[in-house]
Order: sequence, then C-alpha cells, then structure tokens
Amino acid sequence: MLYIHIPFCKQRCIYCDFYSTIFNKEKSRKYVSAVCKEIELLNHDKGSKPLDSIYIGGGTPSVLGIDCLTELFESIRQHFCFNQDYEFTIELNPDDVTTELIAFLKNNGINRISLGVQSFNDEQLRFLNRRHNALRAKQAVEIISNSGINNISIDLIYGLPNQTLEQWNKNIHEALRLPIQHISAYSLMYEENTPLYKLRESGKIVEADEQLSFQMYKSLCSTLKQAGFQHYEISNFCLPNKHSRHNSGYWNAKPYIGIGAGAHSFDGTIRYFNEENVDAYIQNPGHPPRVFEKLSLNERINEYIFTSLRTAKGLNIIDFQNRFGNQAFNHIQKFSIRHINNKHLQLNNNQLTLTEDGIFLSDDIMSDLMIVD
Amino acid sequence: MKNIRNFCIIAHIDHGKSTLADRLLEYTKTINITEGQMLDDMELEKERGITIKSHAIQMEYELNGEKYILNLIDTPGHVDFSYEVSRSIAACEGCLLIVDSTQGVQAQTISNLYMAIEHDLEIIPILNKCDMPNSMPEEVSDEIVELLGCKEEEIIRASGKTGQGVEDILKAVIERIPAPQGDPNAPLQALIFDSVFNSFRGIIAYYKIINGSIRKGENVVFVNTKKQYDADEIGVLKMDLCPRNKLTCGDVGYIVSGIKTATEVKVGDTITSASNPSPQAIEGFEEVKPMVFAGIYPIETEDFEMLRASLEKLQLNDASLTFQPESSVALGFGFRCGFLGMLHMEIVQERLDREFNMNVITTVPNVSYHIFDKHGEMKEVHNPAGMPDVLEIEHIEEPYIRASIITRTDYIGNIMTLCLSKRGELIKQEYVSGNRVELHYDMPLAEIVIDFYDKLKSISKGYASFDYHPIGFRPSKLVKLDILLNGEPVDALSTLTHVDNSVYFGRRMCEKLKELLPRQQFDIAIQAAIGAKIIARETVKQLRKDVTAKCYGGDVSRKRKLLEKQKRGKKRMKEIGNVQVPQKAFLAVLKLD
Repeated sequence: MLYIHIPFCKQRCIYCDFYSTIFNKEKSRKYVSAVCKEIELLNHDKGSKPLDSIYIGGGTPSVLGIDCLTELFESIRQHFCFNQDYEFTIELNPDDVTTELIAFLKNNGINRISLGVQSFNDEQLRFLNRRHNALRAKQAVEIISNSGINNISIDLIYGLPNQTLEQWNKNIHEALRLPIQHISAYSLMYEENTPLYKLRESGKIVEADEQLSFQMYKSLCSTLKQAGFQHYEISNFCLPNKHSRHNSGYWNAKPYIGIGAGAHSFDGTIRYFNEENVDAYIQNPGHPPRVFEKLSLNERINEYIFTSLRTAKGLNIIDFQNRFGNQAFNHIQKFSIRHINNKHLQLNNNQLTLTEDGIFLSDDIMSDLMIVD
Repeated sequence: MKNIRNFCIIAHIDHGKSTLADRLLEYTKTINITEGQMLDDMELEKERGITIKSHAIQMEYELNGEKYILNLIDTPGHVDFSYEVSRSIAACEGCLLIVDSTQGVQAQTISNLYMAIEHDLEIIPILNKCDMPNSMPEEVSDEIVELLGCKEEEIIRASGKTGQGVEDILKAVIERIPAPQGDPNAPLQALIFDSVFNSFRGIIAYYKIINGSIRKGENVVFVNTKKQYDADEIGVLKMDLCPRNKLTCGDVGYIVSGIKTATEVKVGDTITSASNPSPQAIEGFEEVKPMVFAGIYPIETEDFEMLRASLEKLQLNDASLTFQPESSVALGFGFRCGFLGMLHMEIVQERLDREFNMNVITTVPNVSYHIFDKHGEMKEVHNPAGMPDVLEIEHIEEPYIRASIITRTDYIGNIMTLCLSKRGELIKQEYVSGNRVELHYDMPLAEIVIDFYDKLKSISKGYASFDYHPIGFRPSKLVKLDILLNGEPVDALSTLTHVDNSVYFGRRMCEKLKELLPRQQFDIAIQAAIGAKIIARETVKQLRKDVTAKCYGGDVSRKRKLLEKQKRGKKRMKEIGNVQVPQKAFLAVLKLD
C-alpha cells in the first residue's frame, strides 16, 4: 500500500487540521520532484511486490495540474507495479473536476475517486470555506460517472452549528440521487489550531447539540442501509464490494508506505512519518526529516484492538491470540465481558464487534480493552 | 559536664532554621557542606522544607582556650508534631529562637517558645535573613522584645545565607546557656527524644542522660514499655554514629539494642538501668494519640497485603502512624489509619506513592468521636461509617482545639468570618505589635481537618500563621451525611457534619462530585442524604455519544495515545456498583469552596 500526500490547497477549510499549505505553482513543482525522488529512493523492486493500492490524498491533489500529475504518475509507473485488481484512488475538489482531467486520470490508471463534497447546502459550504457550491459538486459526480469510473466516494460532514436534522436528511437524499458507491461521513470535529476551534472558543458559534448529532448519525445509518449501503466502518458506507481497500488496510494493521511531507508509514512494528514541513521536504529530496516511533507489544495490541473494532468485520479473537499470545487474549476476554453483557459488544463466530449501540460508546469500550502499564 | 551545652532551635517553617544550622556545623568544622541542608535527610523533607523527624548532632568548639561540646537537637517545625517538639525541648537547657526578619514572629514560633519557657530554657533570640533587602530588623526586634521581655542588645542579627552572626551565636550558646545539671552517681535516667529506623541495626533511639550514666553492654529497661534490652552499642551523634564505652549525665547519645519495631521506642520514655533502676520516670511522657483518621484502600483489591506490608514498613520509622484493617462496602478491604495531623497524613500518602509505588485511595479524613448511647455508655468512633443507629445515640462529643492565629490587622475580618463558618468561638484577641494580632479560637478539630489551612492561607494572602493544641471533647449536634451514587450509599463518602451546615454541605458535596465524576455509559444520580431524607441531588449525564471521526494512516498513532490515556485514567478509578469513581472524588469534601 502506498500513500502520497499532496499538502497544497487553494484555500483552507475552517475545520481542517491536516497538514497543508496554500497552493503555489513554483513550490508545488519542486515538491512533486522531491516526491518523485522519494519514490525512486524507496528502491522498490519492480514486480517483486506488486501494490494492492495507491492513494493520492491531501490537501488537494487536484490543484497540481496535468503536467505535475504526469510527472508523478510516470514516477509511480517506473518504480512500482500493480496487482491485477489494484485500487488507485485520488482525492479531488469538485471545483477542479473537468471532463479533461478525469479522462487524463483514467488514462493514468486511476479507478477510484474520492470527492470532497461535505455538503449539498451552499450556505454550509460557505461557512466551511469550501471553494465549490452544491451544483458544482453534483456536476462533478456526473462528469466522473460519465467517464466510466464507477467507484466514486464522497465525503459528508454533519453536526454543523445550526444545522437541522431536516437539512442533514436532505443532504443524504441528495447524495443518494447521485451515481456514487461510497460515502464517508464525519461529524464536525473541533481540532485545536483551526479557525473553527477559535470561533467556538470566542463564542461566535455554538457546537451542535450532542443529542442532535447522534440523531443525525442514526438517520444516516438507517437511510443508507435502506438504500443498500453497507456500514463497513464507523464512518464509512459502501455498496457491495465497493469498500475502500486502501483505508481497510489501515484498519487491518497492514503495512503501508507514505510519501510526501507529513505522510505516515508503518512496517508492522515501526511507525514513522516525514516531518510536516514542505520547505524541508523540498530541500532534502528523497531524504526528508523523519520521526520514528517503535511500537511496543502493548502498543501494537492497542492499535490492533481499536482499528479492527472500527470495522463491521471486527476483531477475530483467534487471530488476535495467534498474533499476541495468551496473556493478551485473556486480557481482552476479561475486559470485554462487561460490554458484551451490556450489549455494546457482541461475539459471533469468534468475531468481536461493536453493536449499533456500542458504536456510540466506542472510545469508552476500546480504551477499556487496551493494555497500559 | 560543665563544658556541655544542649540546645535546640525554634523557628517557623521557612524562617531559615536548617540553613542556619548548617552554618553552625560548618563553622565548627563538623561538616563541609556541599549541597542541600544537612539535617533533613529524607527526600520528601527536602522538597517540603520541613524537618519531619528530629535529629541531633554534636559539635565541638573552642572558646577562650576551653573546649566545649555543643549538642544541637533539631525539632520538627509543624503543629502536627508538637509533642515531639516538647520532648526535644525537655532534653535541652537552652534554645535558639530564630525569627525571619522579613516576616516577624509567627503563631507556631510562639507556641513552641512558650513550651521552651515552661521548661526553663535559656532563650537566645536571633534575627535571621538580615541580608535580605526586605528585612525589617527594628520592627521585628520590637516584636521579640515584646514577646520575651529581653533587651534589644541580646538579639543576635544573623544570616544563614552569608554566615553573618554565626560566631556570635556559638559564643552566646556557651556563655548564656547553662551546662546540664544532674547527678552522675544517681541511677540512670535518660530521656528518649527521638528514634530512627536503620535497616541493618533496627531502631536506634536518641536520648539525653538526665542522671547517672550508661555503659556499653549494660542491661537497660524502657520504663513505660517495661521492655529490657542490652545496650549493644552506645555512642554520640556526629555526622555518623560514633561509638563510646560510656556516656554520662548531660550527654546526648544513641543506643542500638536490636529493637525491631518502632512502637517499642516511645518518644518521652525513660531509659534506666535494669540492675539499679531509677525509682521514677522522667515527667511529661505521653502516649502519642492520632488526631486525624482516614481510610487507605488499595485500588486493586488484590494489593491489600502489599498495602499492609508497606504500612508496616512505614511504621518502622514513623511510630506515630497507626493502622487497623477495616472494610468498606464501596472500597473493599483497607486500613483505617491514624495520623498526628493533616500534614502527617499527606506525608504518609506521598511516601506510600513514592517509596512503595502503592496506588491507593484515601478517604475523607475525620476525627475521633465519642458517641454516648441511651445507657450512658461511650463508644469511640474513628469512621463515620461505623456510627451506631441514630435512634441509639444519646449525644455525640467531638474533639475541640484552641487555635492561635497571628495575622496582619488587614485580614482580621476575613479570618474571623472563616473561623465563624468553621464553628469557631473567639476567646481572645491581642496585639503582637502595631499591626499584627493574635487571635485565639476554640474550634472543633474536625473543621480544621477539612480545608482550613488552605483557606486561611488564601484569604490572608499567606500572612497568617496558625497553631493549635487539643482542649478535650465537647458535645455537638452532629449528623451523618451519606452520599448515594445511583441509589447506592457509598460508605467511604459519608461524613459527620454539624446539623446547621448539613444541607449546604450536602449540596456542595453533590456539586463537587458532579465535577469530579467522569461521564459514563449511563446517567449517574448523586444524592446527599441524612438518614432516609434526600437533601440534595445532581446528575452526571451519560457519556457524550462518540460520533464518527476519521481514522486513517496518519491518525492511528494519535488516536491510540488518546485512548491509552483514557485507559490510564480508568485504571486509577475504583468501581463502585457499576460507577467508576476517580481517586480524587473521595477527597471531594476537602475541595469544597
């Protein structure tokens, strides 16, 4: 699995705490060159380990323009090969979507698009400081679909200040009218150092009522279920066989390589990430400053617990025992009993999963199962 | 004997006692000081700047061609340890009264000074910190003159920091303090003023010989415990133990006799000879009685035995700590511990944490109550949960103290209001100097135990000093206030409170607990009740619904750390019924404002 981070945006959304800077043509050119250098130095044996999945995320990869993207695709092709049924995703801003761009992406092997729609309400889009409007988002989906790409995901955000349940339901229905196969839905988070956070701190906006957010989520789950979507991860829904294989890798503790400033990698025991600094990244092409974190056994166990419990498939306790031994197995049994009795966890065919009620208490339950000294 | 001088130092906390003592040790070449203050050797003591246990040290000094032996007996500087101070004082003929020239005389200084005067000690007043720019030597000198009735010239100006006045102090010790008296040929009478635990040698007792002499190997008796020991080793205290074959009347020394438990060596006890016993013990011995009680429980029930072992070890060098097993419905098995006071309790708690790595819950401290039933029988209760049924109680008595508070006149109003709210009764009020007043209050000890110091400090901006001594039991209208979580009474949160304050108190308890209890998977009802009557209620709403946040490659680490932190928090909580209660909630009552 390969992730490539493009940390540029034309404007910043008020809630975003991902690493990204304001787009600058000159800088982005140098940046892409440095990314290609990092790819080259990975020294990946072409053909020996075909990739299952590539994901180009951001930021806004679609701000790069065709020439930069061409350089990037060529580099990828030169240094990696793909599995037969590979997944190749790119994140796009609806505002950047044109027939030409999509044709170009498709020609370069892109077979999945993640579109940052967020809302179909113009007022809300303005509040979030998004570039596009609702009409543009719908047109973008149509363009992509008409190109023949049939694996389209959109992002939606709920629990905005002053958002009503009716408005949210309308958003869901608008989404379902479009030819999409995947929805990622997030509740609006107030991350420190975002303009959104400051607005709340200064009292200019009031966070959505938690009961209302909860109702929005419930409504989302039931409406999508009726429409044939599977709720395969806490915040992800898809039509059959259209789950994000890339993101599923994160939840199944698969190793992955992240390229670009701020990108994270994981080799099974060690996590590391490139520093979140575009200038430093450009200045050290292929050798960006990195931060390493070696996971202890307990930390690996803890990650395994909470990432697997995020998925509908859940945690396979036999697999867990094989991976981490009897002591860890006994621990997780001891701490899950109470939650199973409370019907917040369930154990079927050795799969431990959150129940629908359990999902809303997931932090409490997951942390309970964890092992700390 | 005529060339021995035994003296102690009386000073308020932070008035520079330890630093000045260090200077004396340096000047007499007893020690070369490189770091820290010599007399305090426990880590905790250093941090808190309080000498918890008294120590003693011998110095040699030559004046006018004569060699003198100076024994400095260190005294603890906190109200909790006033009995220990009194025994140290009883072992001396003189004392240095150290007053910070930037602060003036404090309540504690006065009460210890009175103790010294009672024992006919020669007082050498010293103005310390004279090098400080904010020093007020004239003003504070006036206070001392007023207090002692001495002449101004008798006051020595000194600075522990610069070493100013050290020579004058040593000279004054020799010239003004009388040599010890006593009959070297009388039967042995030695006053134990302290003891320490040594892991190789057992308990080492420190004493001063009042009459007679002691020889190495002699069979001795501790009068109050009636136990006999062989004096395996005796000697004097320098920087190390210095063995001697014989010590005689006037000497300050130590004895090693293979004693295993600290409780056998009682401060104030008399050592005498087994073959030629003294007909009477030295006066003033008291059994040290704990004043404050609290439950200490292991968070993990299986750690009970480990907690017992830890407390036993603590007791080895802290004989004033008492503990008895008890059980609580809420907390399981633990111990009801008795402490000399609040500071003592905090010290024990911290030592359990630091030295034994014990994760414990301490319940709200309380005092000892005398409960009289309808038949006139008295029962002593150390735990509100152990109260008999209300219908069986005729009346309750609680311990009272006489408090002395010295403060600047600006704060009198606030302090009086505080004391009044603590059921205090003003006994008298007198001026120490132009703008400083000493207030005397009679107050229930129970009110002091609960957040009195902190409040006093904050309303007086630190310009109030406080001391107290017990004055016996008095009848009080007390009721037992229970706290219920989801309808279940939590015995560990029960308190006894005065009936007039009970409703307000119950309401505040509920409010405070609401702040301290983390939200959980269900609503938690917090209720305060007196008997069957609910007097206050609060609700902790159920956990915020975790709604859906993203979690991809770059989020895993951060999210894991967040959840691990949550888990660590839970590990420090106690499950009562199905409610998770953090340790600090058990001390909620201390944090009411």
